[in-house]
Amino acid sequence: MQPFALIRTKRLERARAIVRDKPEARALRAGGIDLLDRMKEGLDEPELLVELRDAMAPQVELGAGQPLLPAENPERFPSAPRFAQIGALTPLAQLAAAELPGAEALTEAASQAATPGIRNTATVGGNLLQRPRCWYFRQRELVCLKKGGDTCLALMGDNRYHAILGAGPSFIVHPSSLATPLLALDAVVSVFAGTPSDPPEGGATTEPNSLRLLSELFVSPADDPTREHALEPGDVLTSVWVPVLDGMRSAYQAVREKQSHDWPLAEAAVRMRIAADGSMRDLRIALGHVAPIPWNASAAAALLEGKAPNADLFAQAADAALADAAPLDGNAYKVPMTKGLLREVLHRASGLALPE
Amino acid sequence: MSDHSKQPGGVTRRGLFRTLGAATLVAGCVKQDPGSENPERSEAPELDDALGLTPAPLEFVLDGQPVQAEVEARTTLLELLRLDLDRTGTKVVCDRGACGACMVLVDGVPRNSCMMLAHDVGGSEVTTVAGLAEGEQLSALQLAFIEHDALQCGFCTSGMLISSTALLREGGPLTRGQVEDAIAGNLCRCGTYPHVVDAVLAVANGEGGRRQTELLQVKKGGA
Amino acid sequence: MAKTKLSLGYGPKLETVPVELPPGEPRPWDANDQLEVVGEPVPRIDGQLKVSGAARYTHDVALEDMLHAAVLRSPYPCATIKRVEVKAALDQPGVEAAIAVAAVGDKLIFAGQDVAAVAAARPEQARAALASIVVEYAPAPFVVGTRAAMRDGAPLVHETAVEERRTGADEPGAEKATGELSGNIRPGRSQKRGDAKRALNKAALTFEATYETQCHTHSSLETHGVMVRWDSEDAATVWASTQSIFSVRDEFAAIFGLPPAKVRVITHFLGGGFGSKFGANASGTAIAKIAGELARATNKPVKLMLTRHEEHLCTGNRPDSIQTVKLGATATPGAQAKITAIHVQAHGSAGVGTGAGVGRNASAVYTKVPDVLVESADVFTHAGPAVAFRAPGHPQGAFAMESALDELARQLELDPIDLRLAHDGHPVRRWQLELGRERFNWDARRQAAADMRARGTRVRRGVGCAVSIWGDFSGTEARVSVEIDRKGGVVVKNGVQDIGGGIGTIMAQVAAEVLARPVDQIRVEIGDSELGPGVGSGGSKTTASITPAVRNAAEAAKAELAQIAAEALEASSPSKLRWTNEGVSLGRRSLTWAELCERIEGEAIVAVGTRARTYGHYPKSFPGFPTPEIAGAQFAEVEIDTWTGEVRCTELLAVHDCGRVMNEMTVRSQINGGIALGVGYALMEERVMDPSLGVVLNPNLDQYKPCGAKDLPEISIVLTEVLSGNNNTGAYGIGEPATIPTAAAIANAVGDALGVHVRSLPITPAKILDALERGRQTSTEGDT
Repeated sequence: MQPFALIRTKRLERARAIVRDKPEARALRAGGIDLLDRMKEGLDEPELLVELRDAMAPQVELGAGQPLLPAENPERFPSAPRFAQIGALTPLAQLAAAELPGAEALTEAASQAATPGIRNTATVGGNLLQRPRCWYFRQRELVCLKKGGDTCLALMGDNRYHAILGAGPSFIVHPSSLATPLLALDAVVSVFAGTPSDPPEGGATTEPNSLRLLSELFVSPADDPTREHALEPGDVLTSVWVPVLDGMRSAYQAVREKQSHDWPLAEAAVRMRIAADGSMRDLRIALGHVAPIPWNASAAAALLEGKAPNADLFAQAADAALADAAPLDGNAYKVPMTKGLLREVLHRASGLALPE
Repeated sequence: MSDHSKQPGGVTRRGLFRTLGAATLVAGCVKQDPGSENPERSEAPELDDALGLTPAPLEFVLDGQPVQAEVEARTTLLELLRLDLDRTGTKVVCDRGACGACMVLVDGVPRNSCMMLAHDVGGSEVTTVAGLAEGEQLSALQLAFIEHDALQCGFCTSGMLISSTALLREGGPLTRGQVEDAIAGNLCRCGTYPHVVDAVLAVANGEGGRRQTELLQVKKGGA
Repeated sequence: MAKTKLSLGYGPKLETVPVELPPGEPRPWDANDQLEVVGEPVPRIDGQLKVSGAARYTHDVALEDMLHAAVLRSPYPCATIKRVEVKAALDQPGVEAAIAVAAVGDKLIFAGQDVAAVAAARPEQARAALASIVVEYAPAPFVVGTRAAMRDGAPLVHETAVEERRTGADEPGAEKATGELSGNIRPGRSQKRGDAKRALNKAALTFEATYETQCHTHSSLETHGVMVRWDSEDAATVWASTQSIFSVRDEFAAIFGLPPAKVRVITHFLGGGFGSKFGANASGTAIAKIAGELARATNKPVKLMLTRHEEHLCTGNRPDSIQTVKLGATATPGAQAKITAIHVQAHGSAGVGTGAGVGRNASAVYTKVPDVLVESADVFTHAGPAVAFRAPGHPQGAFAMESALDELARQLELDPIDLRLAHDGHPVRRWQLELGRERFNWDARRQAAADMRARGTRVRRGVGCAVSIWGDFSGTEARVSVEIDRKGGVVVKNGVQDIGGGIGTIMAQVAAEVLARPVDQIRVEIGDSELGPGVGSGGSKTTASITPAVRNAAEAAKAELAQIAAEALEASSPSKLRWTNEGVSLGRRSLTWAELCERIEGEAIVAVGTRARTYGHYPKSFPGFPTPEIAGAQFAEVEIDTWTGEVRCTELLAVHDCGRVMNEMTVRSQINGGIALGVGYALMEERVMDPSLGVVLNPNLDQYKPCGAKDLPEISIVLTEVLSGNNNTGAYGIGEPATIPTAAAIANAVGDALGVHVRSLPITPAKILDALERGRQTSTEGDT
């Protein structure tokens, strides 16, 4: 790594100000796993890392509070009797070990991500904001679309691990394994993004001041292929809020080539309630590692909403979820795989026994 | 075949490679646009407390002993341990957190030292493989590793020991699956995993017996 | 030559076999010998050093004033150097030397080739300084895909035929490619029996399929590396991460024009090699030359340890393969069916290097097939050179041949074990197949798999088996010394290195056995060329090469002691003495070990032992060698989720022979390791190159996927001991045999589970789904 300096601050506004002052050469650091990885590869060469670890605390709490809704259009955000609040600096291991009844999709995903050692360092915020694992992007010597080139190298290269949905002009898959269940769980995130007039240095602004739907955190490559998230330089993701509905149940599953430590080939997460009449309600379905953003399979969810769990129906929903798939020459397998995976997760989430 | 420098779409292959020596790489989580003035940019914030562009003091406890060192910010914990503090039992294999050979305990938590900066452990207690024994007395797990041949070339051994020491400290009996989960981030190219699991289970569950190979020996008069 | 009769055998069989022994050779241990220490699960003698972190590997050696080197590598798969300037690197912090390795006008032929190098006080300084080296390349057309390289008009990798490079890890006696280079293809390697083409033409029934295997990297945990210290103008000490100390010495001496005796090589501990660590330089990067030159330029010791990225580009790999297997068979139904011909046509790419091959499953296992032809060719590509990798050629060949057999068995509705038994002439392997059938509950599991297929279940299970062939390739080069000093200390010395098999422990066991001493009273010194000629750890020959020499040295030392004891105890002959852990006795007179050793005249007894040429090969010799053939068979069970394609190997039974077992525990470790390597090869490992950029896309350990703890099946091991009379300890190798059949057995289990064979490794979920789709299409076509 090229030499750089570290700065530690307890104040988010200071962290933000430092990065905003010279965004091209400064970066925020939480667990630092992906950041260090990129710096070691020479993809990023910041002069200064601004450490967040003293500015926020790891935290997983169920029912302690509610996200502060904005005055404008508060109805955009989910409402629930209780929320799980997860601090952005929470290590994945802590999240994996947390008791979040109904939100098992999230704890399960956290327990499968990376390795036990990495999960002790990597944070929830870092996981959501990490950059893609695309093997063209990760090679320092290659200039891909994300690095200022004019083409996505996966398009004419080896794209076995690339996107089949919602892609182009970049064909990465979003790398976050937490984003998939969080999207299914209808999570919202708090972002410290300052106010139109930044509070002065020393001002007590630890209160997150911007609430967003999780889906609004991610940027489609059609809008900007060089970035994956919508945060501006210096903005800090501070909390993730998961609405916990009464009677909510969820499931998550990934397919990997290797069980010990591997990036998923495909992921699916499902949230639902089973109503008194046995029907599935408040369904949300998310797919991961199939699209450049965590993928909301809303058509599939709509197809199932209000119906009783049924194996044939699940197969139809899986077909609907992948109806728009446009595979590249090397990743067509992801279509049947994701369908099969989603069927299994629907069975698990609904409690309908899987066939032998 | 004749025109290999042209790719589909008319992009020259040469243009797909970074020009060496020039800062042509545009990357990073921060959006780069150094030319434009940030409308919100106010007075430059103070950076007096930035550390580590040159070696900066760092204090922590290493294998039970206080350590003081002068360390650059870019130095990883692994580099500090191996290059400056003679803890070469902690290995470098992938240098990207994918193999577990560099695991150490930081305040009792197993972590990949290659993916931490040395300055991350200021004020912490770091335990390497060299700190697992009580003086000359190897830990029960270390002895079990020898007893069960839970090592071949030995390059993954220190990381395996760190991951499984942390697991054992959680207490209670263990299953094979739990041990395999705990060492899922520790690669062993000699394939010694079954014996590692045996060794950890022997300590956790008091199962003394070694795994047996069925050996069909040549018997006088036939088997 | 002295004739003697030995009791040799395997399992149910015991025979008295006449063997001619070279002069001075002690009577080999045979079935009549009840050994006390040899064979026991003795814990490794260096275990404490490894579990405490005290063991110093080449990576760990630190010398005062030592510098660290880093190498700038070509990003282009094919390019001519137009300019290379290293001067600016000298101004970078910590840098003390910078050299160009490639010169203007040089043509570089793979991405990752050496261009320039620097030495700096710290490794991060050296790496950072590479950015200031200015290089201009003129990129040229290239080809990295094996099929693409075979096409007419593909860019040529080599203008003229390159000589096939062999190391001590290559299979001795494996045929060399001799054909004319045509485009990027050099044919000419063949194994032949009868006339396979004619037999195929005449066959009533034929089967043909093409199998493919991937490029597989060794991924030793310790990367390749050396440290060079010039001790004088013409003498150097080299610490090397090597599996062959003496090949490092000889190559380093040759590079710098020194007599080999002026080069000392030290490898006290080695973090894996798997065939890739022979010689001073690695197969695709001149690490020893670079470190040696930088050390000369700076007059300081220079350490050059490669990064994981570099390890994937230029230190070797297992070549890929494309193998077309044709089988001819009689039309006789059921169990009477006979295979009449085997024809394998194989192409494989060792990158810019040589040595793609397919081993001997097709040519040498099925000796009851009358007509066999195995032809293989190197295909050159602009990729890093391959190098021997644990059983070079064999896992590739076993996958294709054993798969074809299973597919034929399915077509003929035969049990694949029966089909093998009908054509394999090796008595031990036949016994192993029968054992496996019984121990693995083969018949019941195959029936269960058939039921699941018939019901079309979501989760399927299946079983498969495959076999291995290897030879005892041990050599005579080792010189082992055993020293017994007046205080009773015993030291066994040899310049062999421990690749992880635990040779030091085995040496202690053999010496302890001969001298009747406790193992913990034997000190072993290895890993240093000054300790006497050793042997490279390749070809599964370390134990079998070293232990007979240890025994000879120990017997010679003991003979001297026996003379002393016979005199002291007034024995008429040393043969009357009785040796125990306490010492030596004759009737009621005795000497403790300490008392005996005190009587040694001078400081110590020093006896040197050599190893005779392998003399016995009961019950069957390896083709072309008067030495034993080593048999093995593995049985795998897989579980497949047909909805997602996820596949796991759940159980594996390994039935192997390794001659006389030297250490039951370390041999089990080696077999576990062979299986782990094979599981990775079967299901997840693959070096991926971009066809239009010519670079490796996964030069790391997350997207290159070695088998981890959770990927291993439940392993059971059955050792079928064979006493072959090959040498005085009866040892032969297991490292390579243990990995040969694994991938093939897993592939066959997948075929059993799905009813469709996956003909390409690794068998990923994607390929499972593809096979299922093919199966569905076939059955639909069948319906219409």
